[in-house]
Amino acid sequence: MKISRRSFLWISGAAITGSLALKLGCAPKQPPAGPGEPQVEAEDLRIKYAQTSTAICPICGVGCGVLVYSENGKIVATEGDPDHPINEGTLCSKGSALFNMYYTYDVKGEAIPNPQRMTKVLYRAPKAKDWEVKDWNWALETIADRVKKTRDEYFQEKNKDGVTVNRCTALAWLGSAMCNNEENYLFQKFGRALGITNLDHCARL
Amino acid sequence: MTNHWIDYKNSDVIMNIGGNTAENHPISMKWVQKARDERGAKLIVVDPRVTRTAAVADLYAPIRPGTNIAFLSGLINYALEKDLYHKEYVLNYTNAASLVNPGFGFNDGLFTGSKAAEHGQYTYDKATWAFQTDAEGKTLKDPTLQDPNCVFQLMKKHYSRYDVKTVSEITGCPEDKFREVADLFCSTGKPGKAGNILYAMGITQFTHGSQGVRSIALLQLLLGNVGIAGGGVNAQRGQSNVQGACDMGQLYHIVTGYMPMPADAHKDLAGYNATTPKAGYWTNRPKFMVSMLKAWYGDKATADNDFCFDYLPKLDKDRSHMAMYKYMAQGEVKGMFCFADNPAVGGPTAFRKREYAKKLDWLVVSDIFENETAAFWKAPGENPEEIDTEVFLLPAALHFEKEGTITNSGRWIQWRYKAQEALGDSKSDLWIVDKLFKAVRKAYAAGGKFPAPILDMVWDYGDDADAVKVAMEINGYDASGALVENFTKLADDGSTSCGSWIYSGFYNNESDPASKRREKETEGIGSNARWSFAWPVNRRIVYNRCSADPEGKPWNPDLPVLWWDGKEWKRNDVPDFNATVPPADTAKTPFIMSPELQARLFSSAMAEGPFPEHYEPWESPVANKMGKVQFNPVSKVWYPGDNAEVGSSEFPYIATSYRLTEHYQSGIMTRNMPWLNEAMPEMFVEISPSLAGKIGVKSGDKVVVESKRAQIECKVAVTPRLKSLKVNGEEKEIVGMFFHWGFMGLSKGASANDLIPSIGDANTTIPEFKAFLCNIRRVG
Amino acid sequence: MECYYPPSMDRVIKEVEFHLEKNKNLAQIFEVYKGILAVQLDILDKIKTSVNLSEEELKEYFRNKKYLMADQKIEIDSELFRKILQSVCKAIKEASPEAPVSLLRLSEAEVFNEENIQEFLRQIALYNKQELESFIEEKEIDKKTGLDSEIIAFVIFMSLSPFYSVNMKEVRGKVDFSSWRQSYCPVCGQTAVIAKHRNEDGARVLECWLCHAEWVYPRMECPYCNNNDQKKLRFFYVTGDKARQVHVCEQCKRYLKTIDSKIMEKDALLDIEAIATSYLDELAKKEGYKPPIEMVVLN
Repeated sequence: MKISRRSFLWISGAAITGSLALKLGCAPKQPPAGPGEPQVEAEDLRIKYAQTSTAICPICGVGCGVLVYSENGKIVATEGDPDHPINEGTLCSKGSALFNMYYTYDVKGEAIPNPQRMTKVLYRAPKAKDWEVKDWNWALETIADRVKKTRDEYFQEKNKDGVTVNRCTALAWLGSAMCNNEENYLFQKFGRALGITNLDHCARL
Repeated sequence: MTNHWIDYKNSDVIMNIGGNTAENHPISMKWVQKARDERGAKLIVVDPRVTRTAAVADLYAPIRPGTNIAFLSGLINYALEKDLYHKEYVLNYTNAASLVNPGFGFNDGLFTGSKAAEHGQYTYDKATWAFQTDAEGKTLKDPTLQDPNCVFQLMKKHYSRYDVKTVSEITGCPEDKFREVADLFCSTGKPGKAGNILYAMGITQFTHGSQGVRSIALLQLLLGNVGIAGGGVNAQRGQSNVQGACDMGQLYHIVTGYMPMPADAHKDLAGYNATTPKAGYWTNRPKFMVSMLKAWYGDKATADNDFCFDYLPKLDKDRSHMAMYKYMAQGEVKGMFCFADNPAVGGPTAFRKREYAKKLDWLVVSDIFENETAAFWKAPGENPEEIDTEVFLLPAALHFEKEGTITNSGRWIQWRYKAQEALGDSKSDLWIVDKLFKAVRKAYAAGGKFPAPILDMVWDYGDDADAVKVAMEINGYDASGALVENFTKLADDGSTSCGSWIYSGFYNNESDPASKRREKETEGIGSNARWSFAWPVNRRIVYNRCSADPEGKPWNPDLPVLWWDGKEWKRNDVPDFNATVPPADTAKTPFIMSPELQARLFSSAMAEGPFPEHYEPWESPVANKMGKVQFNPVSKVWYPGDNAEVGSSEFPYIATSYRLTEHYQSGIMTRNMPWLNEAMPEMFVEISPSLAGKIGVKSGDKVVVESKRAQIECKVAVTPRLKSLKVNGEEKEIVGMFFHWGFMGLSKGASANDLIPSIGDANTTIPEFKAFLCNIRRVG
Repeated sequence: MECYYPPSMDRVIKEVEFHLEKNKNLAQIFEVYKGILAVQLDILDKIKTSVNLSEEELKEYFRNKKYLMADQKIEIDSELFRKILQSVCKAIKEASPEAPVSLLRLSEAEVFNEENIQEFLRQIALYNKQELESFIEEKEIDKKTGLDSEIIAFVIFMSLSPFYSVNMKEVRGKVDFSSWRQSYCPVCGQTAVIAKHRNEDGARVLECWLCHAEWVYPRMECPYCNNNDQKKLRFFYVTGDKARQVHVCEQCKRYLKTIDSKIMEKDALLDIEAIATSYLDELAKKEGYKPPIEMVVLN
């Protein structure tokens, strides 16, 4: 590796490297290039960038912090967030296994997306024995059609005493303790706008 | 939780009853352990089973499933009889001195005002569950606590029936063990000592679950353990955002921020507001309701049109989980959305959830894996050709493939960042609900039944919904259009908006939102005020006025939450009271959410009565020793005759359910994770060696477990963790089972919840998962 | 957090051997390093501490984001200092025969004699490397001794290090550095230039290259500009060695070499890693990032 004069000056702290090593006469004859690859020029070392993001474990209500590492937009590892005041870097057996919800390993030991995951919109027609794969546009339009049909047929504007009640008891909505607050908030808004009173989630379960 | 996970480290005695901290909330055990290591704290575990929490406890007491109230009532009686309660606290901070209507009483299992109703149950006229008042309507009090009609004396009378011998006979906990627990836990009644009760579904999932929680609250109030560091009534939430989903109103009886759903009785907004509590912080409710309506209906919501109050549906009756499934069975419910929820395994009498789904015209499920609720028509024994339900199964993104907040048990609203794009066609639930709403709105643009609530709704989160925009709407805006600082700035004139008032403040600064803050506390009592945001107003310990005496001196000067220095209140937390006035002004009003501004040892709010009373579970091996009323007299019986008779010989064993550390809830997440399946591969039930001897099985044998409703087949584990209990002099065996399995996923197995009765608590309708009767026998 | 400093020579030798197996070319540098360390370790128990502050007073410093030496003077025994200086220079020359011979006479320079030394030490007490080098040039110490200013600054720091370390340990015995959240040292104020992720829990630990104080700094924040936008923070590593990382900030464009002890399953010795990973400095520069302390190009 060719060492430029300027590059020596980049080095800081008090480590005996760069220009200091040269001046002290102990600089490597073959300057260090990389781990286990002394002959390789730094320019030739292959580097990989990784991103860290913070998350909260989706399992129990303790709310432990998780660091999620990704490379090229793919999660490569998860571990306890050392800065999180509750878990201080630790995770339980389920929390430690979170990566496995996303990826498993194939026979060659390569990480592959968990094959059990849902990746397509599926539709099951009345009496059908299996799912059909559908696209989002079809699903959104068809569901909207079903919702409207049911709502329009069963919507109740007034009760028997003439009080405005604006509800549709033919519709039901289960939200979730596994969804984010912002998601549950929109479930609430949407559900009530439809007139849903059959609205609950797994809090009781 | 009144407190939070880290605050466990401040406790002197921790009692884990109806929960299993080490196995179900493993990381929180480090804070229990910290209290033990650094303060010499003691850990008590009260559980039917020697859990791994019990295994490391200082003191373990066995208990029969379904008898928590008897046990806790015994502790209350012990504290009262032996004078172990915190006198100054009880006198000043609770309604112990209030005088109750002399007509109030309790007789043989029923409070005054009962009236027989269907299925052998009762209804109550609560007229006598009230206070004596003077001419101005002010409650009369006796500060000496001697008047026989004062709350304190009534309480003593009610609880005197729960002597140690009786409690032991009901609960199966040996008398000496019970005394040890009572002595140790009631030692925290001394001023300056902190006793902490941790619980979970082992308290709540009973027909008397909410009175179980209330029993904990009463005990903690008597001992002066509420509002202090290291104390509290601490529900350990089993799911990562069960707190937040409730906060967002994802329950049939409320909208956001625990405001009640409008009901048929409320003709208009004024009618709804007429039910606003007359005192306490809830007097501000009209501001919160109007602000929510403004968040939902924006400019369309004006004073002239009642802020679109009529756009909200009115609640006619119980429409909780069990109820809506019953209505589904009856054909009323035609179409259902189910987001990240799996009632076909997680619900009570789970096989009926699968059965009733056949009655639906259509079902929309959004999940990360193909769950049993979506695949009900594939269940073993089903013939899909006979099932007409249309099912849409939408692929959902995983938690780290989207961003937004979730709220832990300590009410910390924490931001979660996105780490990768969702796999394949899967989308975040935010994306899905946004696109679905837009599709429905488009369908209604051409007309339909009462389209206004849909067409007028504020729904503007971008082409692909942005969680930040939703978060800001939840936080709310002030009259100037800026993010509102907190809910004290909300108004009832339509000038402010706020999606969920209790959350306002969590995202009130776009460049530095509180819920994204990550500053760990380095000195203090563990509040971590600059780590995320705790509702309300970043308060970490609620009712914290009670952490100091009436003069403002902390009960425990080593762990001061707030203290009066002679001139002002100093703080380690956000005050739960007006901290601009001297302590004397708030000494009698520390519970701002209660209309009485004091903690209610006596209250008419509960369905069963002002004081909790022990009733047997719906299915019980014994008659109720406390009185002639066997079972919660006001619990709604949805399926009459669906229970085994008292002391059934056909179903002679007590059954309960619980969780494994390696699996989660209905298992759909964890049963699709090979690493966890390797650690805990299949469904099994647990029994004691003595029961194993009786039915002739050893660990690994196949057994059939049968209840009045269903039977399942799985393996059995024989373990000394379970022991028979002496109930009323008779040995009773317990069968413990895990409820994580179903017929889908990588690891398949029998669903324990098929066996569970569909009966619930009279206040919350939470099903009775934790105590029922069964039989167990060897296969072959 | 345990204070690991000073490390045992056995452990240092083992770590050095580990790196030499991968890169024999570093042999002579490590000889110099070990020579200096031996001098430092040898002298530690002869140094008396001079921090007379109570735990509460120390906490008050850290609460106020003030490092200790900002207004607390550390007593330095001039005779002992000269002795260390002489030994350090001698050790270098022994380990690296090609080092300038004038090193051996440095401790006799006018600036280090009895009359001048205390004033000199007072003046340089808060200097970083660059400031000390400039000061040396300004005072023409380099010309007078025939040595490069970088060398002089280096040996002065190496001779001061034991004094600072002993005082740091004294402070650390009274109060931990958990409330300290800066890029610079709570004791001597020097900017940290290397970090590790602690094996125990993965927390990022910054270490002072001068007094060896260690303190935790949040992972998701740039120590140099306080940027905490996660989208503007990332790290790179050389394929095949994920434990040796360079964390970069897209806001201030600075980098921090970081050794992930969790991946190595043992806590790293950062002085040694700093030497062994100089290729990462090259790579960081090539990627467009600046070191924590920018050096002025002198010639």
